[in-house]
Amino acid sequence: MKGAPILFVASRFFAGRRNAAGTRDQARKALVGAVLSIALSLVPLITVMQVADGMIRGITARYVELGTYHAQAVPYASADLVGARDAARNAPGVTGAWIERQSVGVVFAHGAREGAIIRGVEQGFVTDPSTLEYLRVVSGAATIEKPYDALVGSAMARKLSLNAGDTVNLITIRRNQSGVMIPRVSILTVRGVVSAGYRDLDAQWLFMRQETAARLLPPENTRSFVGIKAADPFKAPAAARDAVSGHLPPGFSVYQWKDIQRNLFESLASTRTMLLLIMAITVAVAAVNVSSALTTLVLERGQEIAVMKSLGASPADLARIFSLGGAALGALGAVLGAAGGLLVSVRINQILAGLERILNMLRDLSARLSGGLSPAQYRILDPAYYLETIPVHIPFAEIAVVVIAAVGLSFVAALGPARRAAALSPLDGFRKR
Amino acid sequence: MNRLAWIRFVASRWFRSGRKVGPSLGPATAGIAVGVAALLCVIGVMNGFQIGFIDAVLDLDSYHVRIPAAGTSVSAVLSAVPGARAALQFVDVRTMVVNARGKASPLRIKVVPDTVMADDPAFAGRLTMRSGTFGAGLAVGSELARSLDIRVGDMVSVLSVQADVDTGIDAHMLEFTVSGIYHCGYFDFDAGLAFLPSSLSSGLDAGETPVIGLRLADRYDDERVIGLLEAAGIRGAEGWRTYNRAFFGALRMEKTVMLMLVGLIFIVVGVNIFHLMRKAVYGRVDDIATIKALGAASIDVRRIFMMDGIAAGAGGAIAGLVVGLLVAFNINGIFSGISAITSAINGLAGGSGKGLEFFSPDLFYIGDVPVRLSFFEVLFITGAGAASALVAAWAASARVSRIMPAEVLRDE
Amino acid sequence: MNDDVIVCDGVRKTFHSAAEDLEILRGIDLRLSSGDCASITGPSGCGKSTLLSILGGLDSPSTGRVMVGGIELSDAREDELSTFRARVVGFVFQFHYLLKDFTALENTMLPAFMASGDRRDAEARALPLLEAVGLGDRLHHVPSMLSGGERQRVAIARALINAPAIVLADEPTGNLDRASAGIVEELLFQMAATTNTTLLVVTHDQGMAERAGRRFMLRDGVLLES
Repeated sequence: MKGAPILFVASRFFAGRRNAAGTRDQARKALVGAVLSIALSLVPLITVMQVADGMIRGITARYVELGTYHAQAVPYASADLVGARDAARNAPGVTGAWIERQSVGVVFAHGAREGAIIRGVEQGFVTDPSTLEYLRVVSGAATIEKPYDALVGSAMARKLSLNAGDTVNLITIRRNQSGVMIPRVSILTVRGVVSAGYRDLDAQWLFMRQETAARLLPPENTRSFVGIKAADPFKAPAAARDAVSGHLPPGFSVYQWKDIQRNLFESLASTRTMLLLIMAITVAVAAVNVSSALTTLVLERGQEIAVMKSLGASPADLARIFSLGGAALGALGAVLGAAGGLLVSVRINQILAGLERILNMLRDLSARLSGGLSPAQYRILDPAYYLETIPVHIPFAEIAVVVIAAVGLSFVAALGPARRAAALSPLDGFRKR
Repeated sequence: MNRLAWIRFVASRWFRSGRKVGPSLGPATAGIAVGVAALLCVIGVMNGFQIGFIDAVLDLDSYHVRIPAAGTSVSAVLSAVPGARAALQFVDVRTMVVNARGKASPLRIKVVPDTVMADDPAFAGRLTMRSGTFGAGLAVGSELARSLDIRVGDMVSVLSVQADVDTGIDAHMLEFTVSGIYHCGYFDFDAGLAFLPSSLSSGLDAGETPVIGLRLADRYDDERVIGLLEAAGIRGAEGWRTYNRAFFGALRMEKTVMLMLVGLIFIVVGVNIFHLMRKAVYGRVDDIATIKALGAASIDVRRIFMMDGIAAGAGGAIAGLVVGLLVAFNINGIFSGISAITSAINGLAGGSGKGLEFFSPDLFYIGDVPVRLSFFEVLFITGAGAASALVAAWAASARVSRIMPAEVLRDE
Repeated sequence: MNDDVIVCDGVRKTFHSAAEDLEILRGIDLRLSSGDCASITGPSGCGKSTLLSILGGLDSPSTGRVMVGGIELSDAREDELSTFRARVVGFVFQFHYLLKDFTALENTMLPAFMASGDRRDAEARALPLLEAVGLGDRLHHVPSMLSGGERQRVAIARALINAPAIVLADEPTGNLDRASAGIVEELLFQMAATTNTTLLVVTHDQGMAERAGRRFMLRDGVLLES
């Protein structure tokens, strides 16, 4: 049978008749139910995928732009950081290279103390557009121009009640001439309070000038390197590393960001994979609905199938009608689900904010009714553990993959009923009421 | 009940032979089983991770109730709360530690009473000493020992800082011997929390605020106990749920979201069952009319169909329960199995021989994946699975009331 | 009055369809006493089955009063109707309407089982009835294995198992061949007489109609006794 008649019959089979009585309409309702089931199962899948991707992207971008840089040139047998930095800056494709010296210390201010990750950086790094994209200035200014200027993270500022203009005591430990460990107290002025939007990253930051850090920090406790940035680190993770290889003075190894924080990024990725696998189970279960709906359709249209066969349609034709019909159902459901999922993900921050408001109102209400205290504000995504806002980023390729997979699953689910339709003998069809 | 006997009789006959009438309820039952099993595994693993943290935090750090020690004492607290298991005074000192080679690391040192191991069995039980002993010096975590290359008996220097309004900052190093290395399973502690008996503290804790930690018989009793303390005039107490609010709030939110997302399976299956049952009802219109003509009420006929729904719901839920519990509590073996198989396939196909690793120890700071399920959670999940089938079947059977014997039997 | 088992006063029934409103029954008056044997004849489609459905509690009149076996049907609730159908009336339909998944014995005993909850007792009561209609050796056959006449005989046994006050038969031999029709007709009248059950038969078979003690004709929606 040719394509056009198949399409004609198939559409009539599936769309049903307008004046069908109650009993014959079952299949149509079941088909609608199946499409909605697929759509329903895809909405959370796509939303979770988006949110997880967005979060991971956001977290990773912050780690990369503010923490590990795109690549690091680490000295293993050299002390010429300045030379390495200048060479890196001149390498083609490199958008920036800065010296960084990292150590640990304790910050003391207003009678309270906090552990600090000391980052001796260059002013150029702090004001670079790629850094400022993710580094928000909460108060003051992001400048470390004077030797004893410092920037602190918002969590630390809150803990120590710091504002721009306050002074802090930074305590580091170094070895004196006799080899004894002694503490060294330095006084720094806070020029600004900054935030990366992700507390895990910026909770203990203290930025200062790297030249000052070189003087204050003990060499045995300091990790010094040259941080390098090149083009888009996601599209070309190794771009920065490759750009500077061969340009640096001897004694340096270069690592790309993926290797530097491998554990973090891989654990994020594997968490996402597991989430998606679990969501996929729901889609598989929804495909079962497609199978049931199609079986119902086959049983109800027994007469029509018999008629078609007596007119010359082959079993293969019938099977094709139903299996393609199943795929079409899946496609319709997938498109609906993808649209719904996209809608939710694009507005996810607003949706979460709205939910939070409702939840907090309810909590307030119940507290007031039971005479208890008004509880503190409840955040669905507590900024202590998640990004403050979820970046919205639409991965069209991945959504297309999900839609295709849903269609494929529906097609497979339709094979059973399709075989049934093919095997239905015309006599049986006519005998059925 | 005798009234139900004939209903069961008809139901068993109809649903044994009714398979040709429509698509079977089998896949739907399987769907419920899959949903229940998946939920049990997911929640079990999430619980396992969380409870590992929660227990470590509760037993070693925050206790069930924290009370500022100023203005009160351990004995006062104990007399105000008769059922308490233990009360200790400790001091948290945030500082840095340096090893003999000069490598430094941030460290929080908890200065505890000398008798802590005897006074607080929960504390003692949570700290597994990998080497050395507790109480003769500084006890550091296994991760810190690894990163600073410390062994039992080594000397380390600890920064001690006091701030005086007049004399300014006074910072000096104190020497301590590492008497033991512990492991509790919570990375943040193993890498950044150490314990020091107060008799050996050498003034490290001077100037810091002491806190009394209270351990209760039931961790969920904290609110009530705070009330008792207030009544006894002891103010400022904080329960563990408030103190760790952000942490536990995030964990609870994650669990709720997962429950809802995977619970969607039940909705999808419910829709399936609804349509299947409707089909079943319509397939038996004349039988239904006949039985009504013989004197059965609508509700009796609905019960007949519900038997099938109950079988699907209960059967699926119980099957899912069994499979889910089996998989969840043997999840480590299953993960290793999958890893082995995929790495074998990978190797055969010429790949690197590395398999699909779940929760690999390089990435997640755990040995075996822990699994915990509370009785209530198991009940809730299994019940929800069964309920989705029952609700769907009941809604679908509503049609039965509309079937009038007269209309059906008139059709000739 | 007290002996009246069936009372109809001014029963009307109108069918509403998209095209028109059709008044099928236009004021039926009927009184049957206990033990009466009556027949109703009339052209097909005139409403005989409708009247029987109303008398059997399967349908309700548009207006008018219906009392069967002492129960007012016009304003009965569904649960009252169910009990009525189970205990007071035995129905024999034109198409046997046996349950296709159950054997002859099971079909027969079902109304008793539904009423008492005791399966064994119900089967014990069904056995003699099936033997009386001559199907003692077909107890465990399902309807698909029985001939038309045999199925109708099972239906008669089923109608009688709860010892109803009234048996209503709607064209009981309409679908049967000559021989079976004769057997079924014989059985029906005999058993009604033996058990002193009121019997009301709707038929277009003149021979069967003549056997009844009281004969009615339904024409133009009204009942005429002859």
